[in-house]
Amino acid sequence: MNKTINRPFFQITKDGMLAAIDKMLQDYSVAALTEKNKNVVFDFVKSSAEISNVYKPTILSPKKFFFPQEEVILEYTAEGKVTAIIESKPMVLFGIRPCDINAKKVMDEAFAESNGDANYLSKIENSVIIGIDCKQVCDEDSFCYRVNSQEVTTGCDILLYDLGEKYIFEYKNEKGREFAIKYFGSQGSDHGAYDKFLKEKESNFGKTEGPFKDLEYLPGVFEHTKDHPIWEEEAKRCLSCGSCIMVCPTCYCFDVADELALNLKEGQRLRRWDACMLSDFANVATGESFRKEVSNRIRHRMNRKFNFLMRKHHQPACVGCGRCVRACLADISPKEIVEIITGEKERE
Amino acid sequence: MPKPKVAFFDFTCCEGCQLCALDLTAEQLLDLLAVIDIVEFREAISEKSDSFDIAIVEGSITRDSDIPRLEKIRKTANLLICLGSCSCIVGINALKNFQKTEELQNEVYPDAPHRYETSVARAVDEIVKVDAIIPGCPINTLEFVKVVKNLVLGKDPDIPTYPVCIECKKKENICVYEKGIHCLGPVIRAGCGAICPEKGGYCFGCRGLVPDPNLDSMREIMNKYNMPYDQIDDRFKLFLGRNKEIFQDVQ
Ligand code: SF4
Ligand code: SF4
Ligand code: SF4
Ligand code: SF4
Ligand code: SF4
Repeated sequence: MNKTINRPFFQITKDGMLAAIDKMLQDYSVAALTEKNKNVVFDFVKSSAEISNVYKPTILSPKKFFFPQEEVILEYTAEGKVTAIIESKPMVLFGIRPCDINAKKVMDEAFAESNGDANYLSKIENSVIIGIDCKQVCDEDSFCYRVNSQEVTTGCDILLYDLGEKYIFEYKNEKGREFAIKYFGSQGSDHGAYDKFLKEKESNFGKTEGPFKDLEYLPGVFEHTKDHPIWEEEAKRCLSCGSCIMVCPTCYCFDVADELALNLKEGQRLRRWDACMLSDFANVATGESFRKEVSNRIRHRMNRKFNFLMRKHHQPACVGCGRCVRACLADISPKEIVEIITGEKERE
Repeated sequence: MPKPKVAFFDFTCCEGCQLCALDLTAEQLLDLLAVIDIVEFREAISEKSDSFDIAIVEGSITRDSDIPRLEKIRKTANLLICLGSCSCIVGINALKNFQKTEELQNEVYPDAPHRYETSVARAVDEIVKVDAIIPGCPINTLEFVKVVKNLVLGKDPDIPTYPVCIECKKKENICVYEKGIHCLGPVIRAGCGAICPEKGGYCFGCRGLVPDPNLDSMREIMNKYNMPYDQIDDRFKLFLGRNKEIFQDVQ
């Protein structure tokens, strides 16, 4: 998968990159890793100087740029005039990591289904996604290596490799090629630099536990876990707070609500992130709930990640970014759940 | 459609929520008054009215002699809405339930303790039927407008049933537990925009519990973050003292 044959690599100095970012800021809104209220987040920057150099996993993933927490999708008037609102602006997303790139692939496929979701897709079309590869695991809660999501094939337009004094990069498609030539130049790099990066990466990731046991068979394994005791055990601790869902880069459930203005003359239709872990999520108009028990909700969430959506997208829908693990006060971790289900580990 | 007549009433409280209710821009206020008629509102107008459709009740019931007044309000109103924590969940007023009545009377009027009529502080829904709640200490003005608007339109009041953590995460706030601060957000009803953790504090629980709280797990988590169990109950006590799931033995 990482063969270098026929893959042209280019290079740019770190200073050159800063200048390139300032140049693209004249044409695009640029979102990158930046510090905000003592927190590292992906947000829009005004200059390259605002970009953080050191990667620290963020609370929310960059999905928020394409699928915002809350978004107006329609405006209407009491007279019956309805206007679809599709907002997108030319933007560059700089420095997104392999796990989030793989998560974006799941989102791209999900929002492209049937007629396609114009709000999401127009934002993606208007964006240039610049990924940056990881040479080592970012922290102890991440487990990208258990689902192979530290590897990038597609999902971004340009991929950077940090070599300390410079970046080497490759483009993943025509959009990336045009953009790279315009802003990064086209100074070639020999494959040796990439091979060196790859060797170090492989050595670092080689020290981890590697992929889950039976990774590609997980959908089948999960089929037989309906009555597994783990769901009840986790449910005892789960607060049904929904934090795990808010922070997940592949969760795409939303709620749609019409909000009539106080003047009762006009209104907006909003969509907001929703969460299958919340007690109200599966309530239906007749008053019943499909998943009243917390254990059912946890089981459902895990089946979304490693069974239903994994079948659909041909990759686990959990990319091991570790965000939910960091967010969960009750220490509920998909990594641990899979390890127990596959019998790889026993409950401590 | 005739505009519904709305009347505000207060019992034991600071009346802060009434002030918040009308903390609107001039434009918003005019829009609101285009939808409802306010016929009684001590904080803003002086008329008194015996006829109204919607009663908005602020404050806890702390004297038995207040009960007939509340019952009369209920009888007159088609809809009764509780405004603020004191009225929805008793909130701070419930602290007095942890003390003996005589002690309280002596503290307030040492010379004439019997003059201070007081009984157990109760929420409005312990006495009469309540149609909607607008929780918070104080309330969120925009939520007030939304609930009133929805009720006038014949819709569900539509206040959040999910916890404060949802709003906190959407805003990408650092969870205060990471700083060793014990927050009640995971079991408290959202709607305030997670304002306390966002501004450097923690959730005290002023909006009351979510419908299905996992209190055992919440306690264990607070304890895991180094809070002794007896202090955990103190943290719950500030606003949730009247909650029978947490404080079973209080009068
Ligand atoms: S989880 Fe893996 S892929 Fe994602 S940032 Fe961390 S090391 Fe990189
Ligand atoms: S973050 Fe943890 S406690 Fe909250 S809903 Fe998710 S699994 Fe449950
Ligand atoms: S389930 Fe957790 S670890 Fe997996 S992608 Fe979602 S947030 Fe990341
Ligand atoms: S600070 Fe409080 S409300 Fe915010 S996520 Fe943490 S526990 Fe939840
Ligand atoms: S964060 Fe908690 S205490 Fe603060 S306003 Fe919201 S519900 Fe009340």
